[in-house]
Amino acid sequence: MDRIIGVAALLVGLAASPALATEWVSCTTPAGEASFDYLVGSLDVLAVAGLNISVGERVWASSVAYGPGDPVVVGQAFEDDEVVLIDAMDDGMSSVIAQLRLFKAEEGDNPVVYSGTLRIVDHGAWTVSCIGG
Amino acid sequence: MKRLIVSAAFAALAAPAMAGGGFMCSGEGVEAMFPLGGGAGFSLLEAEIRAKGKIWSTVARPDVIEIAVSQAFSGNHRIAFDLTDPNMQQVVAEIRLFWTEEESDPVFGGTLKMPGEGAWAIACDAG
Repeated sequence: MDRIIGVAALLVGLAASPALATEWVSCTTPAGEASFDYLVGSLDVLAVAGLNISVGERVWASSVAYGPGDPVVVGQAFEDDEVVLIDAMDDGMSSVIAQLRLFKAEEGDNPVVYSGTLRIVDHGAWTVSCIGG
Repeated sequence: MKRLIVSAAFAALAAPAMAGGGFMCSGEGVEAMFPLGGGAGFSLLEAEIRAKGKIWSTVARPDVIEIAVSQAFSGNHRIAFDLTDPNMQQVVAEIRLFWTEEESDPVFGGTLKMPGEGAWAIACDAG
């Protein structure tokens, strides 16, 4: 429980602190059927401070500050030089709502390319590409 | 049931190239095809990439930059393979894909990086 409180405090602090820059990464499917946006801080490890997920008319948001929607929380999340892996969970942390799996590629001075797959349980699976981050 | 669907998908992917098994991939300014061989594991038979007005291919032709199939691996919902120069001394292209499915055919998405040329987001169709 202490660990959960600690992580929550870190994320709240991350989102609230002007000293730590945050940026949205927006991932969309080619035809725009679904999206998965996540707010990250400029840390050496992945700390997701916010989530917005949509498919059709269905929307999930981790905070009312990020828009209307059903509640969603960040489950396991991991990033290294090659991948970004994020699971979005229901607010009881009992079931997966969506899974984002991205590879990263960078060449020269161009921005990093993020692309992979998005699975939203009971709704579908798509390829996605992302901007931001 | 899902395991059966995925297994069937990969059985199809592993079909001989003559039967049309493989990946057709595209991104903004790039197209690629990767025929697969039969047998166990992920077996890349050939490769062709078109980007920036150039063609890289494992099939030698006057109009292409020749490349070779190198390391490849599939597992844990990831597919990774590299293409090199014909002498296998330099990596020419790195393809990294995730795949997933939700009561549907699998979808494949990821990146194509070509050192000295660029990096692209790609989506692939398996057939």
